[in-house]
Amino acid sequence: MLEIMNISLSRSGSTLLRNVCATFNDGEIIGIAGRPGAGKSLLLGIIAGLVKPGMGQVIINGNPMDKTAGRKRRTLVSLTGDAFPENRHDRVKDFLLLSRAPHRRIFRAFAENDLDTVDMYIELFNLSGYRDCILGDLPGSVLQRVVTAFGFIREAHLLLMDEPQKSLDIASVRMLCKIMSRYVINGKRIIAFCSNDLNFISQTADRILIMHGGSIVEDGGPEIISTELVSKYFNTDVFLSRNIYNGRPEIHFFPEN
Amino acid sequence: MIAEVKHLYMRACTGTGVNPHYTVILTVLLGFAVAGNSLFYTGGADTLLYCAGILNYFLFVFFKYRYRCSVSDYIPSGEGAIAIITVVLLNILITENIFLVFLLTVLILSLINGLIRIFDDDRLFSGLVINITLLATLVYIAHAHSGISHARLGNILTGAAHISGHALSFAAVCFISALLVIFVTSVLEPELALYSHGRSFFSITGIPPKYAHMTVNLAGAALLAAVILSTGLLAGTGLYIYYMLRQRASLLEMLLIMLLYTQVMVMLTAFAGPVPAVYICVAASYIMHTIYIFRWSDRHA
Repeated sequence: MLEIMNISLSRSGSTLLRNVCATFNDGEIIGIAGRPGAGKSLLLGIIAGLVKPGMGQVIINGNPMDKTAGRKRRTLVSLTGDAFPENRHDRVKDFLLLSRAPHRRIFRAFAENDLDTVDMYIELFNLSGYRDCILGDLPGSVLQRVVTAFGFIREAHLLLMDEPQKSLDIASVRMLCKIMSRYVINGKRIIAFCSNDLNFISQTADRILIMHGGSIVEDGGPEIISTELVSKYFNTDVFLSRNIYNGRPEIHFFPEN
Repeated sequence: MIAEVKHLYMRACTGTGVNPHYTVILTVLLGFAVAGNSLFYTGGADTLLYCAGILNYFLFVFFKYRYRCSVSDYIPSGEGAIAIITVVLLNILITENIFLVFLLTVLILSLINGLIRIFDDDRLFSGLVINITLLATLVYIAHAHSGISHARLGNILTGAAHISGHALSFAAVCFISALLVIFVTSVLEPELALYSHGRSFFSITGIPPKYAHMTVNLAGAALLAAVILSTGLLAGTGLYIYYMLRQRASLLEMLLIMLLYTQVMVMLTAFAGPVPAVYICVAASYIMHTIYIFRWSDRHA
């Protein structure tokens, strides 16, 4: 379980996060939505320990995150951001294995379990054909899949993702949804992701947090998505329908004419 | 007996990616070059020093490729020129003791690389400026009464350790420095590989990035200082050989090519003198760099 307690952050006189409180339970997929600048990515950065909050703290399984040693913290939390690997000479399988570095003991090689985990996610992300390719030769959408797989491979207790569906084709988005569900299915892990795509969030997340002006303003299941909410926080008029298979809301725009 | 040796050799090469035929040809050519140089020009200790230098150079090339993602060898990047200027100035101003010069060069190079990161890109301009500065500095020193002879300047360009009177001891230092770098990189391989992918990927190690910068700078500086003091500017094409052959040749074959190249340049130094040999090496390095940029870099950009 992850507890976010009264997180606030100000920079250059402007408040970026204001008394953010939330609890993420094991087995949940949490989608964070909000307009650009609402503080979504920043909140993920603070949870991951990459950004120091001005006030408040993050507690994971009863232990304050800032008191947890760096290496141990990396086995508990994994963040997949929008950065791409800079060294394009690496092979896909070698690059993905690096995600297991926090699990590796110094002076030891990677364990058999690490190699098996990489193989499993290569299969799940449909990357078998690219296993021995060098990163520089990959098409953009495949590279995005590799980077997303990199986050999963660490098998951290808490997986954070910033815009995970960005640059993915429709088949890959479907695949990602399945892998996300599989990741938390044993009820011991948590996924929290932020996205600007409300439809992706409503179809994927078990719980949705809406951020506005650095605060969490709405917190609930997919049913909280309504035309009023979209109009209020995203300043856009839309209409909703229900997915006939799972009953979750789907957002549509009104035709121009 | 010969058939047995051949059988054992072929079996040893199986599955390693080593082409047995090319390796034999390269080894024979290298043997002739080393024997020729040892007998007629350099002598055993100097030959060993050149080999130790090229081992360091090979590691330096691997280091640049693997952890610094650089596409410039030490001549076009200007690192070689900075190191040569450092060695010349240390010789004039402080000491001619090769071991002290080595230590100070490592320190200065790692500081320079830590402060101004200009060596690890494919822009020719910054390296060219540094190389022209080197040329101007050497011309000035050669014509000023600086207390350093023309012959010594020439020798510094092709490896100052050869004229230090401690060639064998310095070869041992080169081997030790190479072993240290091999040890550090093998222990910290995943961390250094993550470092090469950028800050956001390195953050998963939980290690402060400044320690990684320091390790990479220090290891790179130690390797380059060993190269400059043992082989001078008689290399500088290895990184391009590595880029161009990495899909087709094994590491052993590439090491043999680098050794052979330097032995040919040593032979050239014997016949034409150090300065023309250095001119040829610099030109070869720039030609390889240009070929790499126009023909290869677009494939792996």
